[in-house]
Amino acid sequence: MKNIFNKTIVFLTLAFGLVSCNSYFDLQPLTQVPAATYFQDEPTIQSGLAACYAGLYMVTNNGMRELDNFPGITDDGYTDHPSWQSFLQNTLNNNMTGDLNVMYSNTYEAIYKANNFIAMISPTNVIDATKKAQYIAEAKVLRAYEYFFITNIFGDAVLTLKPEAQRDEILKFTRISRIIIKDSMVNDLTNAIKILPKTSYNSGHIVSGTAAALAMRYKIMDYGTPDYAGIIKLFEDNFKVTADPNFALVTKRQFKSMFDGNTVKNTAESDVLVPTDNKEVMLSARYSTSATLSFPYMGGLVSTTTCARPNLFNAFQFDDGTAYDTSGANPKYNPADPFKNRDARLMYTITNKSSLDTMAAYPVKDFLKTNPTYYAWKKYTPYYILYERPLKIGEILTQDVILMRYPEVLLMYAEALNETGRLSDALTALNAVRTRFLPAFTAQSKSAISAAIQYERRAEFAEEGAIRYYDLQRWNTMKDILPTLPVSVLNKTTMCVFTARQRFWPIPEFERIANPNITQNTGY
Amino acid sequence: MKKKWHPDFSDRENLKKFLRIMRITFFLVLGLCFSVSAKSYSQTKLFDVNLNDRTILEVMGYVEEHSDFVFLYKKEDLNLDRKVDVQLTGVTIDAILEQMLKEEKVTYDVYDRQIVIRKAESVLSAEQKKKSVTGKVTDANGLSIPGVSVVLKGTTIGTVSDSNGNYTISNVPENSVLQFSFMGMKTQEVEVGGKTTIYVSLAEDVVRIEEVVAVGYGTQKKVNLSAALSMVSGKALNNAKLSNLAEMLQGQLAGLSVIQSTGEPGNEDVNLVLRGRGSFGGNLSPLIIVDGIPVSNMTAINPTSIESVTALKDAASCAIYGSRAAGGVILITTKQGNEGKEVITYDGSFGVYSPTRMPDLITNSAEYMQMYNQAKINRYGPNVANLYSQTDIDKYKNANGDPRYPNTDWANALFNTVVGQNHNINISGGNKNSSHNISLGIIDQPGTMPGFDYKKYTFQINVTSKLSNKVQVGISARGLYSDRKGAGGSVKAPAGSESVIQFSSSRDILNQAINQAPTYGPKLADGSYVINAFRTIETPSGNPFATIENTPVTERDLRLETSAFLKVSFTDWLTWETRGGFNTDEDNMHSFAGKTLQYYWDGTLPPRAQPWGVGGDLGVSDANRRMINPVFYSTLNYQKKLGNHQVSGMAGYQMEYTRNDFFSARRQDFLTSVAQQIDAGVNNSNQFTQGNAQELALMSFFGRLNYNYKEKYLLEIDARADGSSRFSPQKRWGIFPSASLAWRPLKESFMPEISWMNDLKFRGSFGVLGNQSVGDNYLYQNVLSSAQIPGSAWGAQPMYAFDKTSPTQGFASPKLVDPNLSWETTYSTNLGADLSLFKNSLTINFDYYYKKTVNILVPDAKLPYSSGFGTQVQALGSMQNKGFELVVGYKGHLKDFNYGANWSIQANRNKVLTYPTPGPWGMQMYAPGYEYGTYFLNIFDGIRQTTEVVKLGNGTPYTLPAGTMIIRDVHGTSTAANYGMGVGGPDGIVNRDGDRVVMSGMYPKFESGLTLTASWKGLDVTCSFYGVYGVKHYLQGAGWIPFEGNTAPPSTMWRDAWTPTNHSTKLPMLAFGSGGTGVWYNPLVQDDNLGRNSFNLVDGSYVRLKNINVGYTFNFQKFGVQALRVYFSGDNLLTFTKFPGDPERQTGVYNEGTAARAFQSQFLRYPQNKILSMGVSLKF
Repeated sequence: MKNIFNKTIVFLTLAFGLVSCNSYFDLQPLTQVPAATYFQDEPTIQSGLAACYAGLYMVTNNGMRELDNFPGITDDGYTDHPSWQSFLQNTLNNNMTGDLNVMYSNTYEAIYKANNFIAMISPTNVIDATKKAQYIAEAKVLRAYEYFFITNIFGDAVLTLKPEAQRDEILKFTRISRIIIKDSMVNDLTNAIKILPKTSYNSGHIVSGTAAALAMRYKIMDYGTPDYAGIIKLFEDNFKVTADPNFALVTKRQFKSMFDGNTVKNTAESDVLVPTDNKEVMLSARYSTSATLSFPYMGGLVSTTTCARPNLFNAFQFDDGTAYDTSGANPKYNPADPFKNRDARLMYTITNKSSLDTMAAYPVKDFLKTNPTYYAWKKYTPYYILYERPLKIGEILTQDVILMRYPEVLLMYAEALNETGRLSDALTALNAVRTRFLPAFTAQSKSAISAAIQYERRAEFAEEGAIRYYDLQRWNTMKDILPTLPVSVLNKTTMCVFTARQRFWPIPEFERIANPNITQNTGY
Repeated sequence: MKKKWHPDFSDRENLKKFLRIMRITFFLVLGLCFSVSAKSYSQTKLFDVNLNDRTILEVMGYVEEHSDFVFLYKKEDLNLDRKVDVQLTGVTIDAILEQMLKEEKVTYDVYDRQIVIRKAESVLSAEQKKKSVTGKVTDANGLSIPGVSVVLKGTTIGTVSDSNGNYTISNVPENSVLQFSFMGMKTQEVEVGGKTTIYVSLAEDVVRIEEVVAVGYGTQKKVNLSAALSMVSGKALNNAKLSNLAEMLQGQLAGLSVIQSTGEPGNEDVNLVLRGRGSFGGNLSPLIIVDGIPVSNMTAINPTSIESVTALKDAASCAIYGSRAAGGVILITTKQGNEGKEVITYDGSFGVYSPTRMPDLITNSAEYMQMYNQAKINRYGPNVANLYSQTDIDKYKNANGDPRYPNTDWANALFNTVVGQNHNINISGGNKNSSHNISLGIIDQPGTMPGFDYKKYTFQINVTSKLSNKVQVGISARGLYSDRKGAGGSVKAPAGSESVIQFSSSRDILNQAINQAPTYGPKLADGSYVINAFRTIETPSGNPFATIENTPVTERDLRLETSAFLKVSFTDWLTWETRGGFNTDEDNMHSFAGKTLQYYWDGTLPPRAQPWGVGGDLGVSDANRRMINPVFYSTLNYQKKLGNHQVSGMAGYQMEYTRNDFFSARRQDFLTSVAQQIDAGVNNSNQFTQGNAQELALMSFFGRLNYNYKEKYLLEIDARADGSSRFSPQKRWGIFPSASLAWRPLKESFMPEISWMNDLKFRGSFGVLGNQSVGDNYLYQNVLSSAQIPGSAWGAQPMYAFDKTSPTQGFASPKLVDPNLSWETTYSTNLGADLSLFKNSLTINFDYYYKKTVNILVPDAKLPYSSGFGTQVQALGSMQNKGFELVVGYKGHLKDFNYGANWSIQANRNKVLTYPTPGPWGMQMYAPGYEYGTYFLNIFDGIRQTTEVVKLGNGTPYTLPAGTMIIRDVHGTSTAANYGMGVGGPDGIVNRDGDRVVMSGMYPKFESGLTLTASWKGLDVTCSFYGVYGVKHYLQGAGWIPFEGNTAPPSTMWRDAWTPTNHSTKLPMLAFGSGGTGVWYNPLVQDDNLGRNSFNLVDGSYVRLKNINVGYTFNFQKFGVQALRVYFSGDNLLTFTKFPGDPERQTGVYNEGTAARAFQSQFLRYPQNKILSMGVSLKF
C-alpha cells in the first residue's frame, strides 16, 4: 500500500516539473494568426495584400463609397439620404453621424491596413526582393488612393505612414496641410511607377499606369496651383495618346457593356466585354462570381429618389456635337423621343420612360407615371433589371466598380496641355476620347477647348463616383451651379445651398472628442 | 476478545467528560450506533445465562463479553465481590440486572449499550413520581436529528436520540428539566411538568464555538476568522422550490445582490454581484468554487445536495484566489456521506406556477378604440384619416359576447397556470473506511408561456475512502442534463455576431403580445392566426402565437464537473491535499423558423391572408458549444499549537486550462416545416457554417499564514501569484497579497465579565485583488484575422477578387493591440465587528468596506478614427465601491415554541473615478464623480395647462398645446469639458443636451432580506422576505407607451390622461407620433430627443415575500419510513411595489466582454413565477 502512494507522489511531482512556464502559457489564437509569424510565403503575403485591396469595396450606410451618392451632391444626380442632403442644404455639422463618420473612419481603417501590411512585410525575406517591392508599392498606391479621398473631402488631415498602436502616440496626431500630404503621396506614387509592372490592369493588381494616373489626379486637383507640367511629364513618360498597348479605349459599342454587369445578355446591342478586353480600366473594385464576396445594391441605382437630374440629361449634346436644345431650332431634336440623335453616352447613362416600361410591377415605373421628367440611372444597372425583371431585395452587384479608367488620363493630359498653351496637342488627346461618340472637336481657342474638355469629362464619367464632385470643387463652380438646383427629386421648391465652407466637410465630432488636438474645418 | 474500558467515576466531572466524549463520538458515527436504538438493543438482545456463585464483577464480565453492553459504576457504590446466582434463559438485560443486583442498594439505567449503576439516592423521595418521557428531536425543517444528547438537568441521567430522532428517558421526576444538546445546534431546555411526550425542534446555533466555515482551500473555525464572509446552510436554502440555485441565494448572503431578470424556464438570466460593480466591461460575477474546483456557473448543482454556501467578500478572504476574486468568491460545499447506516432521503414537490405580476392594459375593445381615436386626433387634428368609426365602436360595445367582436387580453391570454415537479433522492452512508453521498434530482418546469419548458436532471456523487490512517482518497462528480424549449428563434445571423441563433426572446414574444389591439382574438375557429381586424387602422406586428408555434428553439446542455482528491496526513500537524478534476459543458441549440400565413379578419369578411412570415427566413440552425476545463491544485497544510500560540499555514499550487469550442451551421430554404433538421432542407447555397475555439491557461502559487494568540489576537496573511496566458510574458504575473487582524476584547484579562455578552470581535483587513476576465483570451497578441472587423462598416470580410472566380481571403489586424495590458487591480479595505449577546441568542455582524479598482480594462476606450480603429482595449478606468452590511439574528424559545429571525441590510455606493473620454452614452452618464452609467435625462416637470410658446432645440419657437409635457429648462448649452452636461442657469431654451441632468436609480440604495422561522412540536414555518429600495427603471416600448407601434394598448392609468376637462398634472394627453415636434405631443416617444425624460423613470423598489414554507413532521414510522415531513411552500407569493410590472429586472446592462451597452428598458419581460408547492420529505 505504502508503495503505491510513494509512486503516486513521484508521479505528481513529475507532473509539476514537466510543465514549464513558457510552453504552458504560450497559447496562440486559434482563429487568428499571430502577425509576427504570418507572412511566411507568397500566398500569405497575397492575403495580407488582399486585405488592403478590400478597402476598395468600402460600403457606407447608403451605398458603396465610390458609387451611389457622390453624383447626388452635384448637378448630375439626386440623392435623398439625410447625410448627403445635409451637404446640399449646408446643414452639415460636426455632430453628423452616418455616412460622414463611416467614410472618414473606414478610409483611415484602409490606410491603417496598408501601413500595417507595409510594416510587416518589409523585414521579411521569404519572397524575392522584386516581388516584395512590388507588393509594397501596391499597398502604397492604395494608401495614396485613400489619402486622395481624405484630402479632397475633409481637407487637411492626419498623415500616418506607419501602423501606430501606442495610444500616447495616437493622441499626439494633428492635422497637417493637405499639400504636404499630396507631396508625400505623389512621391510614393512616383516611386511606385518605377517599381510596378508596366502592363495593363487585368490581374486585379495595381500596375505602373494606375500609379501614374493617380499621381495625375493629385496634380490636377486644387492643392494650390495644379501642376500641369508634372501631368504632361507623367503622361508622356507612361502613356501614349493613341494605341497605348496597355490602356486602349474601348469602342462605342463596348462602352455600354462596360457598365452592364458581368452577366451579359447576348443582344445585338451589346458587345460582350470579357474582363481582359476591358483595357480602359485602370483601377476597379473587382467583382467576384463567388457568393462570399458580394455587395448588395443599396437601392441607390434604381430608386425613385437617387437618380439623375434633368440638368444632366440636358447637358448631353446632340450627336453632331451641338448643344441640346428643345426649341426645335435644331432638327436633331425629337420631341417624341428626346434620347434620339444624342451623344450615345446619354442612353448608356440615363434611362428614359420607354425602356422602363418593359418592367413589370416596378416601383420606378409607377413613379414615372406621375413624374414624366424623371430619369433613372442606367449606368451600372444590369440589363436584366432593365429588361427582364425588377430588382430583388438583397440582389448583388454583378460587375466591377470602376474607379479609374484611361479616358480620364487622356482628359487630364488634354487639360494640362490646354492650360499650358499646347492647344493642338490638347485637341488630339481630347478627340481620342470624344470621337468614339461625337465628331472631332476643332475649335482652337483655349477657352473653347477647356469647355469641350469639361463637357467630355461630364458626359464620360457621369455616375462614376466622385469625379464630377471633385471637378466642380476644383473648378470652383459649385457656388454657381448648386444654388440653381432643387435639393431633391421630391422637393423641387427648395434650392441647394453652397457656401465657402462646403469646400470641405466637417471633421466628425467623435474624432475631435477622442483627440482634442484635431482641429475643425473653417465654418463648422 | 473485546477489551472493555471500566471507567472510574470518582466524581461527576469525569462522568460529564465521559458523556461529552460519547456525544461527540455519537455525532461522528452518526446513526451507526443508533441503527439499533438503545431501547431496542436492550430489549432485543436476549441472553441465556447460567452462572452460579459468581461475583457481580464476573457476571458483568460475562455480559460484556457476550454483548455490546458496558457497565458504568462507581466501585464504592456496590459490592462487586458479592456472589450471586444468575440462571435465566431468553431474557433481556433487565432481567439479568434485576437478578444480579437484587441485594444491592443501587438503581440502574440502560442507556443504549451502557448500563449505569448508581447508589440508590435518598434525595429521590418515595413520593416523587417518576415516569418515562418520550419524544422526538427535529431540526428547524422538521427532519429528525439522531444522536442528540438528552440529559436530565442537574444530573448525569440521560440518553441519546436514535436514528429517527426518537428518544425515551425513564425515571424522570415531574419537576425536572430536560436538556437537549447537539453539536452545531443551540442547546435547548424543556420543563417536563406533567408531560410524557416532548417534541423538540433544535435551532441551528450560528455562533457555536465549534462552528467551522469553508474558506479558500480549507476550513476555519468561525471564531478564529478575521476576514469578512457570510454563510448560509444548504438546509436554509432549500425551503424555496426554485430550479436555479443562484436565485435561491437572494437575500441569504449579506453583500450579495441577486437579480433574476426573467421567469423564463431555464433562462432566468440571474446576475450575481458581490459588493458592487468592480469593473466596466469585465466579468463582474463572483468566482464560484464547488468543493475546491472553480466552475463557470451553478446550474449543475442540485440545491438539496448542498452542505453550505459561503460568500468571501473582503480581500483577506478572497486573496487566496487572487486574480479570480475581484468580484468576490462564492464557495459551495456539497454533502459528504457519514459513517453509519444507509440513509435514504426523498424530497418531492408539485408546484403550481403562475406569473407574478402582469401589466394592467386596456382590454375593452370599445374603450381602446375610443382612446386610439383620441390619441390620433390629439396628434394630427380632427381630420386625421383612419379612425375607428362610431359604427364599429358600437359593434364592439354591444357585442354581448359575440366572438366576432372580442375584448382580447393578449398578455393574459399568453400565460397559463402550469404544474411543475421537483424530485430529489439522496443516499448517504458509509463505514469507518469509506463514506458516500449520492443524490439525484429532477426538475420539470413548464413555462407559464406556451412553447417554453425546462427539464433538468442532476446527479451528485461524493465518495471518500480511507486507505490507511494517513491516506484518504475520494471523488466528487456532478452532472447536469437539461432540455430547454423556447420559441422565437431566428435563423438569420445578425451581422458580425458569433451566434447564428437569436434565442432568449421570450421578451420579444411578450412584447409582440402587448403590441396587439384587443379588437381581435389570437386564432379563428379553424386555427388560423389573426393579425388584425381593421386593415387600414391596425398595423400588424405579428401574432405571438404564430411565433411560438412556428419558431421552436431547443437547447440541450450536458455538463459534468468531476474531481478526485488525495489527502495525506504525514503527521497530526502536516497534511498534503491534492485535487484534480475537469469540468465539461456540451451545449446544443437548435432552432427552426417556419413560415405561416396570418390573417386579417374583421368579423365579416372571409379571412384574408397577409404576407406575414415569422422568424425571418425559413430555415434551421444548429449551434454547438463545448467547454473543457481541467483544474488541478495541490496544497500543503500545517497546523500546530505551541502553548498559547496557534499557528497554521498553507501553501499551494494550481493550474487551470479552459478551451471553448463553438460550431454552428444553418441552412435556409425549407420546403416544409415537418422535418426540422438541416438535411431536410433544400441543398442550395443558402448554407452557412461557423466555428471557432479559444484557450486560456492560468497558473497560480498561493499561501496563507494564520496565527492566533489565545484566540484573542488573530492574524491572517494571504498571498497569491497568478499567471495568465491573457497577458504578455512581461505582464503575465500578478501578485495579490492581503492581511487581516482581529481582536476579541472579551478575552482580555482586564475586561470585566459581562454576563450578557458572549462574544465580541473586531476585524480589519486590507488587500489587493485582480481581475483578468476582460476582453478576449488573446488580449496582448498582435494577430491577423480573416474575420470581419467588429463594428466596421466594410460590409464584408477582408477579401479581394484578384481572381474573379475565387477571391483571395485577406488577413488583417482586427484590433489595435496594447501589449502592456495587465490585470485590473482592486484595493479592498474591510472593517467589521461581530457581537454575540444573551447566551448567543442575539448576534450582530457588521461590515464596512471600501474598494478601489484601478487599471480597469475598458474594452471600447475611444480612439480617434485616424488611428484606423475607433476603439481599443485600454486600462484606463478606475472606480470605487463602498458600502456596509449589517446582519442581525435572533433565536429564542418559549417552552417548545422556537422562533428566530435573521435580518440583513446592505448598501453599496459606486463612483467612477476616471473614465476614458467621459460623457453621456444614450441616456446614461459615464464620467468621473458619478455612478457608473447613471441615468442622464431631461426633467419631466408636469403638464402644460395652457397653450404656450416654447423655444426648443436650437432656439426655434414652437407653439405647444395644453396637455403636453413640460420639460424643465435647467442649463444653457452643454460642453465637452463638463462631460456633455449643460452649464450655467436656464437659458430660455429647452433642449436635450443642455438640459439633461444626472439622476439616481441605476443601482439600489439598499437591499434587505428578512427570514423568520418558528417551530412548535412537529410544525415549522419559515418565511423570507427580500426588498430593494431606491432602484429605478427607465421604461419604453409597448405596455408603457400608449399605441407604441400603432396598436399597443395603453395601460389603465391612461384613463386618467390629461383632457380639456381633466386637467391632470401627472399624465399628458394621449397622443400618437414620433419625430420632429411630435415629441411634444407625445414626449414618451423614445427617439433620441426630449422624449428621454424622467417621466419614464419609474420607481422599482419592492418588497417581496420570496418564500414561505410551512411543514409538519409526523411521528410516523411504518413501511421503513423513519421520518415524514409534509410541507407547503410558496415562492414569490406577495410583491409590494409601485412598479407596474414585475419589479425584479436589471437595468443598464453593460454586456460583458463587448463594447455594446445594451440598455434593457422594454417594459415587460417574461415575468417571474409565483409558485405554490406541496411536497413531502421522507427519510428511510
